[in-house]
Amino acid sequence: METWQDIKDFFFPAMQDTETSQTFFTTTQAVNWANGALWEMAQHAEYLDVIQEQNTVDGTSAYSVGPAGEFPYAIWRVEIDDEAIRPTTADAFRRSDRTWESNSGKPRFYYTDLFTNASTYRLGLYWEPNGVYELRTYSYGVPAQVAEDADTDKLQVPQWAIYGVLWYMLSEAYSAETRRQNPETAGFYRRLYDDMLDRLRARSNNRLSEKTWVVGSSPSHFIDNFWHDLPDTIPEP
Amino acid sequence: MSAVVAGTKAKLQDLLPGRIGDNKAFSDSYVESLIMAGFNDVAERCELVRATETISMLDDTLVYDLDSSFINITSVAFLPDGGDEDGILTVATLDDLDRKSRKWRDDRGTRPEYYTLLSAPGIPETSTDAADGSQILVYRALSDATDAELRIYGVAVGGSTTNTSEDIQRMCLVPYTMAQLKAIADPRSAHGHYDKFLEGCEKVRARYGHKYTETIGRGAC
Repeated sequence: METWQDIKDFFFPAMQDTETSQTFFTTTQAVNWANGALWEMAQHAEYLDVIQEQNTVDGTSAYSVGPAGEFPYAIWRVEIDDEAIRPTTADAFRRSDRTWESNSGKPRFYYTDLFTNASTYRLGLYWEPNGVYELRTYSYGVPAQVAEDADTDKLQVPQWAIYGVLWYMLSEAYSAETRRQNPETAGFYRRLYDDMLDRLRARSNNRLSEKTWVVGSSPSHFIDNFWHDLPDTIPEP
Repeated sequence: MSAVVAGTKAKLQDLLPGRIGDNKAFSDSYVESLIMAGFNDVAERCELVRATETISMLDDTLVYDLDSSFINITSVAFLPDGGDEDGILTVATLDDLDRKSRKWRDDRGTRPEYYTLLSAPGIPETSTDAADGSQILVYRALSDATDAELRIYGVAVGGSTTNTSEDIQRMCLVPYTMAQLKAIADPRSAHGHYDKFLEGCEKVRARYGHKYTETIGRGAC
């Protein structure tokens, strides 16, 4: 399962419905729920890095971040001409240098606290660029949204976790006030979704750990617990 | 051993006699989809499937696409001439690379020493050549990458569906599918089946994972 069509092929039969008849739910509702799941999963697990490259403009300190479709919501790294620059706040500059806005040169710091970032994420550069530099931003982002007719598009979610999108959709569908409403069934699918979400977050956070990890409660076999080996008292040196 | 779908479905039919099939409570295709969903979940929870991807390196290239079946990456080996492995790369963050060299993107060498991941493993490209899936970044890029390869090792979803042990079907796939089938008519029973599935996964993971872990660390008791 990896495309939007695969999701629909599972969702409608699970609702005892078909995509052609859409007796209980429309494809539009399914799209809305799928996109809700993608947003929530991406924000909770921070699994998607959005990298954007653009050139600075002489005399312009503010830049929008992110290609259309992938909404970046948290910048975690900025490079100027392939070198990392450091995060700070405009407020810090304001307190330390009253003429900070008039300083220009090759940018050394970036800040995000001067902008209303609800719709388009923006950052500011300090110093204000005095020429053309390559600006590269790394952000956590929200995946490209599903479109109703984009049946062959693959969802931007780790392949192993794609069922999480489906469990979210089913949970929402069974919560909706329709003839199919069933809070207990919605609760069951929510449990599956939450479980998937937690594992996705753990795996995303540990992506560079090179280790496998244990799922759920302790395995049934014996675990060598180091607490057993601590002395009762610490001997004198 | 039996095929994942056929073997599990046969066991389900014993538990739900006369209810699976065309024009019955649960269609064949729906039950088969659920079994494959369970197979995916078991592969991830129990980390049963080991996967390898070989990537041909290119001159002056830092970033390569990763296969979307990976769940995590366990090691990355370097093959200088595409033959035998010659050591592994060390995992690093971009900040680590900054500390190594301020202009690390411009550095070139004859073998890569470090790697990092851009996005969590497993994200497919939304469409062909979209370059928006999971990627690996290596340092240093090679100035001459003739025949050089990277071999990526990790845990993945997928694996053979033709033969799965009977007890994985019985302990994991059957309770998983039963939970899904009961979710609408009897949600409480669905939770019970799901608990049984989780318990089954712990047993399977402990059994298959044990052989990898028992000699590592502080030694046998």
